[in-house]
Amino acid sequence: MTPAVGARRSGPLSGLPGYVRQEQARYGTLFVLPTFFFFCLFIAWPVAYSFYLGFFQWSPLEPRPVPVGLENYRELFSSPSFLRAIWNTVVFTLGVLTLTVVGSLSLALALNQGLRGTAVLRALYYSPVVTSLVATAVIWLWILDPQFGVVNQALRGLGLPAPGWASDATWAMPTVIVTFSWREIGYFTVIYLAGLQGIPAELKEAARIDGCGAWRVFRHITLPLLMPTTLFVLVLSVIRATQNAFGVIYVMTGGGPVEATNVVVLYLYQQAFQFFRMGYASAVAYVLFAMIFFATLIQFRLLGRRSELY
Amino acid sequence: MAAEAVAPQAAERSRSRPRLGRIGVYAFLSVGAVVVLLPYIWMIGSSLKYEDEMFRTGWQVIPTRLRWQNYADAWTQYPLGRWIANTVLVASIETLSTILTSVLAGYAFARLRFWGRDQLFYLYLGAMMVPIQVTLIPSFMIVRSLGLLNSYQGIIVIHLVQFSGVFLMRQFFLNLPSELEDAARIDGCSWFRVLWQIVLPVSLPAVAALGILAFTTGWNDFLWPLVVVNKPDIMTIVLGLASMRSESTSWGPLMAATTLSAVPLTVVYLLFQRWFTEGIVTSGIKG
Amino acid sequence: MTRSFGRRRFLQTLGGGTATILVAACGSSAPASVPGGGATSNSPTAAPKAAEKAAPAPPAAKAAGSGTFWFNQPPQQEAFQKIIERFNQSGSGKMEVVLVPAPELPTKLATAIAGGEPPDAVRLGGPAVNSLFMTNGHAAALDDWDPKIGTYDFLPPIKKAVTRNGKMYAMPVNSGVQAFIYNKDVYQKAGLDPEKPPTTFDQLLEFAAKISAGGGGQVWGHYVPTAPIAQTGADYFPSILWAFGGKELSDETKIAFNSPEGVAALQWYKALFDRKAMPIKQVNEIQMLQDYLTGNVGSIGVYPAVVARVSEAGFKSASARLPAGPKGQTAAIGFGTIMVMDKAKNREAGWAFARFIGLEAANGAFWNISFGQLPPRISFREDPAWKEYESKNPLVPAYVEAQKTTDLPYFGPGAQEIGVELGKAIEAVAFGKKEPKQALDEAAQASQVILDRERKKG
Repeated sequence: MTPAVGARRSGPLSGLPGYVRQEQARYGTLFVLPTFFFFCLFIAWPVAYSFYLGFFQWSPLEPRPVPVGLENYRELFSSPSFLRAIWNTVVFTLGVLTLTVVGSLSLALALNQGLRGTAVLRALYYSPVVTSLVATAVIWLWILDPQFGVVNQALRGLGLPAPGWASDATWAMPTVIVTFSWREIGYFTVIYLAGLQGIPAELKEAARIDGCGAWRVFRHITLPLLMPTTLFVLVLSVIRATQNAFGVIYVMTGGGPVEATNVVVLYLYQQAFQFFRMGYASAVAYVLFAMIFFATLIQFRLLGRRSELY
Repeated sequence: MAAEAVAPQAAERSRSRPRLGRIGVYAFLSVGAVVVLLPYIWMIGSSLKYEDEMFRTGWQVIPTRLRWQNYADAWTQYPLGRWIANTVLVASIETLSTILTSVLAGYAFARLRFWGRDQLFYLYLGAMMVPIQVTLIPSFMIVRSLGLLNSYQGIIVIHLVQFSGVFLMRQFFLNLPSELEDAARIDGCSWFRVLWQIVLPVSLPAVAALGILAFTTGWNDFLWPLVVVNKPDIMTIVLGLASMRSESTSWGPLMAATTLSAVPLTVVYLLFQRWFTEGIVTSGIKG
Repeated sequence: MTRSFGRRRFLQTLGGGTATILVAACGSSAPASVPGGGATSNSPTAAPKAAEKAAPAPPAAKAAGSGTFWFNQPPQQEAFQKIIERFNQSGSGKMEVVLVPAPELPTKLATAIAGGEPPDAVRLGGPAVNSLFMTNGHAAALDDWDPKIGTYDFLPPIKKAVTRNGKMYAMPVNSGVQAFIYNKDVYQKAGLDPEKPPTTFDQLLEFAAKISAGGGGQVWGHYVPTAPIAQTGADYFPSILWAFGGKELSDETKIAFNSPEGVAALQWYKALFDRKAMPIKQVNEIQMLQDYLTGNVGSIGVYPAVVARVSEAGFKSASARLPAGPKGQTAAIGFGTIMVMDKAKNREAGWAFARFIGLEAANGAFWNISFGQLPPRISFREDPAWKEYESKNPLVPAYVEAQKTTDLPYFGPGAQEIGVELGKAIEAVAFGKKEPKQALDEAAQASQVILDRERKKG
């Protein structure tokens, strides 16, 4: 496209005539303003403040922070608990990611078929999300109780081994992964359902007329067109798995047994609000943030190009 | 024109789906349903139990005697109605605000070009990743200096903008073919009109999805209301349920209260989900 | 056609929503209509609200205006409501109650203090939590209002825990002790005499193992908390530790729980698991109670707050002192206080409430009966209402008896964190990941670091 008269040479506004540029810039800034204002107030300042705190030792109950330089960071990188927590976080996130993406996409596809009775099922699958997180975690704990729970009673009745689930050092991590995913799948099914609606039906019909089977339609039409949605699901899944998982893990295993499920966000909460070491906790939070940020960057690299089609 | 296209498609879909595939889908959905329902059966069963049966082992999920009184107890011993009303109010306002700001910003990121656009978007992405433990105390201080502590506004203000919403709308808008908008612009519409009259109507699935997600987030939020609320009048339902638990709780009423608290969200979900599961929207672009 | 219908609906919602926003922004805190039971039977703020809006000068000369009180146990049996109403009607002041979930209380309180908005009074449980907020001047000294408060007959360990520099910084309002509760039916079925609970820890181990052996994997002998949290290490383990002759600290500066006596105590825990007297799982106080209530657990060592639930269960229970160890039979004492926050808006109201419960026998007794605790003042136990409660409830006398030989768990700098380290050690031993000596040595090492760090701050 040949640049119009008066056009800029580079940047997002290159190639456009001056008056178009100005109008887009004006509306663009206007539309973004409310979120920008909020960002400055509730994100930028708290984040800067807590980054600053990471170099201090401070309890909210004490009058003044004490500067300690890099001591906090040094402590956390040499703390076996924290290093274990990082490993656990990676394992947990990968597990949840797989289950959630596969599960919610499958569910969304199944629910989108327009088969009878799926309206009720749609509400059903969202119900874990609408129920109190603590209540459902407690209920799962009881259902999975190694001695008195329904599941193990059934297993014993069938002569199968009955593992300790949340109380077993090997099974605790799979247990929390499944319980958390059980909640998350409903959430992301909603997103996938919306994404599926954005795929023009004509494309699928055209492919079908051309003789493609259901699987080929899925692989070559649906899946690629769902890339922007999938990117969103992946990024958000990682963020939620590293942060929102706090509730489920806290109630079900408290990070145990023997630190088997201690994830960084749990460690962070303990340091910040049980021991009141806000300075140290800030340092931990930044390491967590860096981890998520790099994970997101990788996801964007891998999928970002393909997700912007038009 | 668009409406005509919907009906035959729906009919054709169910006709052309092979029987085996349909059974497979039903089977899959049923297995999933059982897994989802298991905790509910237990929860509802417990909500109707007498205290001495509450912790009996295993199979006694179904109570031998029903205690409907648990529901009455829950309702009278605790201000459930108040809590639920509060939460509906708070979540609704947050949802509206989130939808508004996310649609505007998302569209700007997707379609408009302005200085610093991409950098700002990455900043917003980063904002999503900040753990709440980090922002809790500074946000508390800000809200306090605004004089909004202990009020509905104080609870709401933290969720007026949700960056995941901006992200969601941007992705959705990016995927929309731009021909309609281009046509409108050539006709001389302002960007605002383009967004309002052309883009939004075809974006209802995403907006509805965002609405549900935002409402759910507002409904389930715990840590922030915990530190901001000091008056029983404005407690949200999650806070209320948490305050009901301790070693001396009667579990029956607590389970009843938990069951009741799931109802409003389910209703909202059922209302919203029609907009993204009924094929209302088509691409609108035909030859 | 379909498209515009959707759009109209959206506009309607938007319009309605904008109106709501405007209303909410202009109005204050009350929504238009409140369905259900909010206003009538149980909201303690119904009466005080009117008083709040009225002019601050109350009729009685002593009245202190209205304040906020944070409380962390749900009001049961309407008794708590009655106390608040009693107080509000007494003319000494008015209290608005905020229910805070117990595990989140420190978080909320610390945030409020950091943000400059502490409540006027708050109920805190346990020496460690109280200690946390007493340092750095967050608690108001009660002696400023009542100089004679140090002379009242509070249980000595409790008074010691709340006293700093000769002044009391929190008003004890309930007390407890770790004692032994056992299931008589389970004892009967296992062939043990239900009237003869074990008197030594060795005996307890034998009884517990016998119960489990005969239970076929469905019945268990004795539970101890194993969750890696402060409660496990700071509230529950000390009783056993002391019974074997160990101590948490040897003086104010040195960790000492990894002494041979401490190892012996943890060894006893391990024996419980080796002999299958307790299942290998993560258990905290609440879990312990829940499992006990299934009727399949022989005994637990627990504080008196559970007495009401245990009495209601479908089987017969009895209580006794915790068994004796080789070196003693001192149990850990627990207590709750009402703390008046120093920088609160209305300290006077906070004090008025604290003294209402803490210094008036009838109110103190009422409070304790409602929550299944023991009055922390010896003379309060002579109150007729309390005596009647004690006589009607067979589980209580053992607790009163047990309280005569108690001591305080460690509550100085770093108490919470050290409790967690101990809890982690106990968990590791319970799951067979570490031997007692190794677990305690590692915990001691980490705890020493914590202790040094926290002491440096003070």
